[in-house]
Amino acid sequence: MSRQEKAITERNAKVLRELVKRPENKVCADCKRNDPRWASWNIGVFVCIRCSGIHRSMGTHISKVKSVDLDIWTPEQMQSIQKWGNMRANLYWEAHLKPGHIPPDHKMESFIRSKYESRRWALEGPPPSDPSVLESERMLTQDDEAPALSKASASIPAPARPPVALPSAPRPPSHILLSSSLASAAKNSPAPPSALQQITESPQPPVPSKPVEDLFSLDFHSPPPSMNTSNPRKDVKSDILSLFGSASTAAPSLVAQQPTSPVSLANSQGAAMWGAQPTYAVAPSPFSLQSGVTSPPLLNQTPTFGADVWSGQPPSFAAFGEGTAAAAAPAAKGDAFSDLWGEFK
Amino acid sequence: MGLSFSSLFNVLANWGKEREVRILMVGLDSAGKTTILYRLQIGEVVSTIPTIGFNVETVQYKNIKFQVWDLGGASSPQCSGPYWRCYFANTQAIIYVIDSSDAARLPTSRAELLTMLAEEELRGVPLLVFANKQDIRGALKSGEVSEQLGLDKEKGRQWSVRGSCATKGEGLEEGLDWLVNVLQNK
Repeated sequence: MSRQEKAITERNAKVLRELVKRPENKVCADCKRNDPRWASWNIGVFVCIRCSGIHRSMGTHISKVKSVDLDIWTPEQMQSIQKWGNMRANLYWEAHLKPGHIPPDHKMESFIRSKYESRRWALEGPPPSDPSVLESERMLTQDDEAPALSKASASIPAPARPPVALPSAPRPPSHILLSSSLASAAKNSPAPPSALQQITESPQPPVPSKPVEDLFSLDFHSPPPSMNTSNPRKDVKSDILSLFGSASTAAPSLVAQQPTSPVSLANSQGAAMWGAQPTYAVAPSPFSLQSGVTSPPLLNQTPTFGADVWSGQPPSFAAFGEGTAAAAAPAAKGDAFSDLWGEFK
Repeated sequence: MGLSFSSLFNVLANWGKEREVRILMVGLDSAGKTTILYRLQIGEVVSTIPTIGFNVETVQYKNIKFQVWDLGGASSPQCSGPYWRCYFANTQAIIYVIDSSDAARLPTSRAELLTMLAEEELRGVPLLVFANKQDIRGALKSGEVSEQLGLDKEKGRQWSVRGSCATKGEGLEEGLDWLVNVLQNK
């Protein structure tokens, strides 16, 4: 690695370490345990190692997992994780999930598959190319659904909410901003309406400036599941409690993340619980086991006793070097193995 | 048929009942190495987490004990090369696992593989490539993977690229069959 690459790598590592220190990224985006050290860079979430395993099992077409500490990140990967993060990603992927929901441990695989593979709670449409619109959208939603909250937050000098042209609030909140931003992104216009831009820039205020707002807003920091209530006063309480609640989960999560046991045999139960009906139907694959491409036999191979056994098939061996000879291999060994290995086929 | 079966039996019997073969299984992260390992060993799909370090298991297959070293892929390409190198000595076969559905990283995977094959310690060591995750729609077929890997230039080495689906157990035995065959003739 050149010195320059090394410098970039180190800088990225530092950025990543800063990112996981942000409150919304301090807990796993899926199970809400403390201290996630892994990430799905295309989805843009930080997750614990257990959940990262489930992400990987869905396939890289859904989630691409990397380690915060062990991997080297490319610029594209950095960009994605930086523009998303747990809060924005969950605004999208858990949009229709009741706030503060923590799935029980034994349902985690089914939860994660429902969340990303079946998109059970996701907003409609693909993830926005500029996820920051999700946050401005959330504020509108709060105005609509919880007037008490907006009253509370109105007393706060809210830099995130410029008085300028909030696109007229009481409308079906879900997709307006999203679609407009998509439209503007599609036009490749770097300058969306100024109000929108201000909103989109605001969601990254220095962390300490937000606590009050967090207390009153729908929280995204893992309150105990039993405390979901529309009463804002209780929300305050639950938010405070959640600070303690999540701190106490640190110990078990450490145990569970020991890398020494890479395999959880509990899986056979988990598999039975996948309630999810994937919307991405996986077509029965036309994949044929009979395919393969093989090197030609080595020329200097000395004929041994063993070689005699195989010498019956020289013509098909010759064909192995070519991609078109895909089906030749099993045919060649078919008769030798069919008795022995019939049950595998 | 009957003849070839009995000769095969003799070969295997003469070859030694307890022959142990040391195999390295490598590939980029999330390719399915650990899933393959445990699919071969206990015949089940286990739920895995990223491998940090390695797993090593003995897989009994056809009178041969494969000692399979599953090296964690969860370190970036730039890191993995030197790190894998510690395990190269006395390796009798390489299993290289590729996520066929991740076409974007196939060039990276190829580069890793070729770098590894250039190592003196691995000269002439047979190579079995699993083009894994064939069950995922859009996955590259083994022929396409083979083409992109461009192994034709590998002289003095026997290799085979085969489609597999570790979660369904498809293609794995066929791959090991090939390996057994090659090792036997060596």
